[in-house]
Amino acid sequence: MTTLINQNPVIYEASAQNSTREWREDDDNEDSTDPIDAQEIFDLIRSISDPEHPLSLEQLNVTQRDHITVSDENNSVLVEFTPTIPHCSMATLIGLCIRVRLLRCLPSRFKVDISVRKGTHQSEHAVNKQLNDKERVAAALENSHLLEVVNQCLATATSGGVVANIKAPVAVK
Amino acid sequence: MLVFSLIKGIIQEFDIARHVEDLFEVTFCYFPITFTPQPFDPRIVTTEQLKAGLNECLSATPYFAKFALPLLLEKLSSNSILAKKDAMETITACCPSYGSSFMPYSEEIWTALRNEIFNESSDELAQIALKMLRAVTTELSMCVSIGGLEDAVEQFLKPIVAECIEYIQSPDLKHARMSGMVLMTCAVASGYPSCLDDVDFVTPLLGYKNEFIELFTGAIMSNECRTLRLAGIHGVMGFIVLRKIITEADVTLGVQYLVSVALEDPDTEIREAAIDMLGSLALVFPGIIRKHVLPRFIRILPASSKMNQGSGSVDEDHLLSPEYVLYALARIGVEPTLSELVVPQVLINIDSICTGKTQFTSAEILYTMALLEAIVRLLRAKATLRHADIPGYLDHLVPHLLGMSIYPTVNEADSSSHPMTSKEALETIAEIIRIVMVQSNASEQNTFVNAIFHLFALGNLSILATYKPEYEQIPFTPLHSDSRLSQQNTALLFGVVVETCRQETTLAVDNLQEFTATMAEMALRTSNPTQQLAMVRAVATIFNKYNKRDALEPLLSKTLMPRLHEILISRQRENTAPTPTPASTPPVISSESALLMYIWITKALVLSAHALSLTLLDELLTLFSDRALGTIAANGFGVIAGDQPGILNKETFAVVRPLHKQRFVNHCVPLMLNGVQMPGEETPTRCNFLIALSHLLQNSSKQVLQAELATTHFLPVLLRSLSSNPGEIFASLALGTVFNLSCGSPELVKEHLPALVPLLLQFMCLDHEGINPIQIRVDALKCLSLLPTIISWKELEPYYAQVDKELSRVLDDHKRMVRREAVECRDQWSKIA
Repeated sequence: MTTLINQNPVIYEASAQNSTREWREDDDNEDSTDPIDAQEIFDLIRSISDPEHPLSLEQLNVTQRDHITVSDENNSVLVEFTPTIPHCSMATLIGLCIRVRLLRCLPSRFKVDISVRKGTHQSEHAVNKQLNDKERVAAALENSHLLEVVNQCLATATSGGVVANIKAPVAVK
Repeated sequence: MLVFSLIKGIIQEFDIARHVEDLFEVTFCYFPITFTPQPFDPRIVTTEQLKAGLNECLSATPYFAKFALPLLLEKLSSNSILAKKDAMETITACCPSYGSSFMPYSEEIWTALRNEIFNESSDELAQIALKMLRAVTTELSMCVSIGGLEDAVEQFLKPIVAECIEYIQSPDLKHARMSGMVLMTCAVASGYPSCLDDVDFVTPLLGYKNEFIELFTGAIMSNECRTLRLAGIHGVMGFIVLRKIITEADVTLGVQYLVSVALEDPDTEIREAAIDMLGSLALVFPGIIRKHVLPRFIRILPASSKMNQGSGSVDEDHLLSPEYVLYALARIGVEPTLSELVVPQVLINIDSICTGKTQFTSAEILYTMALLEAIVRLLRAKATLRHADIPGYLDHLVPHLLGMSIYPTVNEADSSSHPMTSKEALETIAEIIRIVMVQSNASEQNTFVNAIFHLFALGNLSILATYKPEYEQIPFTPLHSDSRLSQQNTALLFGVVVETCRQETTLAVDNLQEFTATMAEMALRTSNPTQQLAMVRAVATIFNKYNKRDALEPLLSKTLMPRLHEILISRQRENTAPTPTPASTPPVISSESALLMYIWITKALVLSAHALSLTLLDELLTLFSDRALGTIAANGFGVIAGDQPGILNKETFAVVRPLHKQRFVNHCVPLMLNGVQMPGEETPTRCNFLIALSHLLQNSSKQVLQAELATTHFLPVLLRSLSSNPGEIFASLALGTVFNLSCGSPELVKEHLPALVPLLLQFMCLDHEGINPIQIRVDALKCLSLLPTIISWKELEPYYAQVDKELSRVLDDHKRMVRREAVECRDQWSKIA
């Protein structure tokens, strides 16, 4: 029997299925541009499953909106995440999942940095180095077993649910 | 596979008594099955199939028992999880045929199972073990009842029960949950056959009765985890159901216990479980529930809504809110002897709120609605159980409710805020009437319908049992267009009666044709939409159900329809040549009212496949070019094609001819398609055709549509009109139609992928020959994400590279909504890639 690394994680309340973003007039207005912001990145990654528990990263408080920094015009994203315990050996895997998710969902112009939040992991330096090394990430994804695990974690990911005004296309208005 | 079916055949067909051992050996050598199918093996034999085959063989004859059991039990102690799992499953499968052969092995079985259950190494294994335990216990107690070998089960269960009780009583709760499960399983399994047994037979469990009850109640009381407490409740329930070993006093005790849980427990889930239990028990022991449970709930049901503002903490209020008590009453009081008690009580409560007042607080109105809805819930539950006492409510409950909602409207002081005359209340009462009417036969309906016609058509209030002359201060004329608004609304109640009449029921009027004509005229003239819709629906129902031997034909085809047609046409003429109408013309009937009636009557005739129906449909289609009426007419096809709950369907006894839908679809689809591609036609008209088409697609079954869509080149036409740079609304509608179509018949879409995919890619991009509006981009992305869920990878593969490339561009759309859809869409495609 395998023992879980963190047997008893603290579970936080997640903001349901849908994004916490509120609908604004401008969402319908073609002329206004919606920049990609921290909330949008957060919506993309919060529903990823933890590799160990059937819970989302948001429920485990691994990702938080306030720990995401985005600059749309400079094409840069920084995601900091918090492993549930300082010696969590899954930290790299979680980071990899976040990276793959953003790789698939963000326009290619963005430079994405992913790191463990300062002081929350005992080998944070090593983890950060691994996560931001392009070649190592690419090599990791060549490993079909690892890719399968990542895909499993991403299977639950959604685009952050629906804003109030988006509906399925029904013909009758 | 073949071998297994052979062996099974041999066992069943031949006398194998002399060859048992040989046969067993050739069979058992396959156990356990370790076969893993080769990937991509065309001969599809799965491990599961083989296992099932082997199990069938092993369980085919009781003769195998003495050979198989020792071997299987040996496997149970092996280290491989798979082997253990297989062995347990096989034993479970064998139980029914091996029967008493288990007796000698009972001790070993428990030892093995105990390890599995309490080690908690894997939940799945424990579940399988529990299942096996249950099967074995059932079997053993069955033997007892058959052979009178009383101590078999007892021997088996004694150590189990003793051990579990020890676990539960020990302060360490680690094993308590599992022990509870074990006990429950035993109780349920051994109880089942003894319930079946007619002989006064005492199961061995009886000895433990008191301990059990203590145990389960202890489990409920404990403040430990919720699952344990739920198990406790189930345990109590299991016990109460064991009729043979439980005396009435015990049931009473258990029931009272559940009541206090239902009323006092702070945990909602536990309370609801308790109420559920009481609900199920009520069907078995109505007497006890009537005596001990209902009074307790009724006592706390506040007589008026004032209780709400009473003292007491917020928590307490919430715990025993009137809504909660009503929920419980509706759940428990379903059984006839119980509802006979509950329903009048609810009525008394409504009475006590409503009588003698003209001003009502919002709390009172809410409470009245809650009371009415409780009756609806109760009746719905009764209707699913087909209780015979439902028609009886036509005599008491319904007239009482009718009185309550009618008397305020004939009072001099017109109190518009009366809780029983609000539209919501009337609709709820209508729902009550509908449930009761549908469950009544023609003769029961006749008496009631007779009274209803006296009441609503003639305004004869004295027919109500609760009538007192002083109530009636002004005449009751609900079907007139000039009566009081609150009276007009009660037409809703009349409508629902007509809608739910059986075809054999007689409508109590001398001349149905005259009556219908008058009602239609009133419906056209009224300006109250509630009254209008109710009467229009009633008129349509009459034309559907009571046009026997063309009795209503003169009215229908000679008078009414031409008149409606005239109203609609004159309106169109006004559109084309706007000449000011002379002021002398009498108050015009609005063309919207005429159209509403036209649509409903068309629906009624389409269902009964009336000769006139196709003509009516054609006329509706010609209305599509009307600026004001076109969209209403197009949406009318939603009413005509869709099943409308509570009216003009099989459940409400309408005349529904077989194949009417086919006729309807075959007639309309080609015409509508023509309309969609009409050259030079104004876009709104083409949009209306698309709207109507969408309604058809959404409301027709695949079988009906399939042939029609294929022969009319439906999708190509749609795609062509999409690619000819249509306006936003049209494109959005067309994409929506493609979406609906894809959901219904993927085969059709599959053929047209080469045209469809590039089109979608075009529409999802921001700028392709001009700017695509947000909604179009979103709709296109939605259609595109649907494809991988309905069409196989093989068909989609050629498009994947291009789709993925385009999608990666759309991920950078400047609108967030579009980006969201793009992410979802990319997910869908990469899932199957």
